[in-house]
Amino acid sequence: MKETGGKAISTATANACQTILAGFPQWAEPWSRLGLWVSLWDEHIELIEHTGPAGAFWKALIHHSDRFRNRLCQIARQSQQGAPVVCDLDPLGGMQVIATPIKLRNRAAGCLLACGLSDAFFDEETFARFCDTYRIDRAVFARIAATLPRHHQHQLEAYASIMVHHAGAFNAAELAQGEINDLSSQLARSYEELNLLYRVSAGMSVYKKPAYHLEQLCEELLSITAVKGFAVVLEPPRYLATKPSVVRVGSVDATPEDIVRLYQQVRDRTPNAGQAVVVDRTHGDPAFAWAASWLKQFAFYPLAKNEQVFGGILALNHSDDSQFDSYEIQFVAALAERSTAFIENVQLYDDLEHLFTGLLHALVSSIDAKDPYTCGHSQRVAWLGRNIATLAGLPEAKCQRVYLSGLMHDVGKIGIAESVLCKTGRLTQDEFTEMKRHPEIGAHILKGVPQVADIIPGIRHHHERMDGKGYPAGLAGNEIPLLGRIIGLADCYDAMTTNRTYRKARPVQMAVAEIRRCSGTQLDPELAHLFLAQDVQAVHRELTEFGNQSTNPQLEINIGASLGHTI
Amino acid sequence: MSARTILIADDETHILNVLTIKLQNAGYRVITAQDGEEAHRLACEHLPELIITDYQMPLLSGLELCSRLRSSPATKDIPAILLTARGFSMSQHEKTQDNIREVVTKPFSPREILALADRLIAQEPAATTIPG
Repeated sequence: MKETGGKAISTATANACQTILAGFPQWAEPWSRLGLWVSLWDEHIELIEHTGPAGAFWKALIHHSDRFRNRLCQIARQSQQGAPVVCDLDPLGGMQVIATPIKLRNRAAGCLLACGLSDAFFDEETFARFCDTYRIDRAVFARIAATLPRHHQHQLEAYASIMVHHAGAFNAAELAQGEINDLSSQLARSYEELNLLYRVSAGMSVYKKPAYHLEQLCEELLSITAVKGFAVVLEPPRYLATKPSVVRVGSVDATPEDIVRLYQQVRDRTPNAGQAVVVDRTHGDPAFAWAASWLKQFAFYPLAKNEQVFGGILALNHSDDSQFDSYEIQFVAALAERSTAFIENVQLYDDLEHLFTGLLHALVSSIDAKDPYTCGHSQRVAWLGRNIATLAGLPEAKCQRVYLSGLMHDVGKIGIAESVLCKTGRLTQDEFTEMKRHPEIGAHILKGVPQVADIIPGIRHHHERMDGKGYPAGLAGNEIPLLGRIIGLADCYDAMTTNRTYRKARPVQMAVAEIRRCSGTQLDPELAHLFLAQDVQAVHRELTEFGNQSTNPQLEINIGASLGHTI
Repeated sequence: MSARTILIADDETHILNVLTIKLQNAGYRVITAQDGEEAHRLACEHLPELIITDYQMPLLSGLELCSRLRSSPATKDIPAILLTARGFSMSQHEKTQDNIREVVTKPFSPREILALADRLIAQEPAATTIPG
């Protein structure tokens, strides 16, 4: 097809011709029954289709006589000016030609051309002149012409005026149907997008990792648009020294490092944070030469809040290397907008979690730090508690709460006099009574914080005993809350295996034996059994490693960074 | 093998157009109805391989249509997809009518409807009766 400029026009014209072609036989049928020859020509005045009595005659005529063909083309071309043409092929020639333009909106896109013969055509002299003019063999054509239907001139004139209307109506109807089909396709596309927006909005939950949501989003975008690949880059929060996270889908041959590099390059080039950047052709641009092997075109949508860019969505390569269409660009932009809000919330949530646990670690470190022998004790009890909770089959979320409870179990020691807390050697009866207050002090401190209400039992009751001889409440057996029994076991193990003022750390095997001995009396027998069923030496090694990590001063510095945006 | 036929019933013509285009392009023959009575008549006449019907329609609702089709041996096995407007609740009993294989809320994804149609039609044994 000749380049007419702008892909949309060529497609529409092609579709129009297809639609008209499909409807042509039905339209032409009554006319050919009336004895007219009817033909369909495209916008380049090429004959596409024809029908009518003695079609062979007409076909042969066009084939043998260039002049005749050119004359028809001339008339057809004339109709392209906009108005139907009704005329004699030649003056006094006896051949009536009716040419109606096929219109696509206001552009001519072809022609419906009909020919009818009047009595005059079959006059010997007229016929002879016709054959001479158009250089056809009189004898041959005379034979074929004899079978052709003939009409009175006034009949032909009547047909002409009716056909012009009929052709016009046919044109309008077929094009209308074509438009309906087009609209329906567009509508179907809108439905897909609406459906996606609903699903995406419904699926955005703060409790799911952004990477999961973003991957889903990209997969959906991939199936709805004509883009070859999508990638999302998220920059880490300021206080974490990790690399940006990348989610990729589609058939683009780039590594995550490539994606991050492209992201950084484009982000730095963006004039206004928040504006989409579309590059339809990277080939030839030296800035993108490094990516020439896989990058053809891309669109970049920054994810930004308050002028701060924290990530971006990249649409990579378009099918057929064609341009991104404006509809696609807008749609992805809308989803990027929606995702921004969601990701920001998730990061805020993450931020707060980090802040919270960071503060807690700092708090318990400060308490433990009073006594060098108990340094790191709370963290280790927390870790052990979580280990035991997992063994007991508690769900992940619960195990996290056990960790928290373990971390805070000795927070009450802050209310104990230092003289008692840091005394070397054994405590007196009075001093011991004082010390025994720490579980209840701890519970009391946390009473005012509803968010941690569920962990308080672990703090208040971690010194209870199964035989009821513990403190502060003297609860027995299963009266003791599960949290208390778990923390109690964890506390017991760590106390035995670390150095104290009054004795050195016991080896793991001795601790194991001691736990076995106290199982049922002091400690919960089921939990003890579960704990001892493990390879305790291996667990102890892991515990020691963990212990070494959490006294890392790095943690304290990070908390400062969380509290404000500038240090 | 002759093209499989799908009957679409909805009083909203734009939905008919969208689904017709989508399904025709995928090679199905499509017949349409704009109310429940017409849909019932066409279903009995053409015995399509699948019916996609809106819930709310004049004369006969999509649900009543499916119920009627289920009570006739000729049409009881034709699978149906029911389209409902968002948030429109249906009692559990209504949803579990045998021939209604899937309930889809609008705005639906045309792609998904096509995938559903492919799946439901593939599951059915080849029709043994020749449509009159």
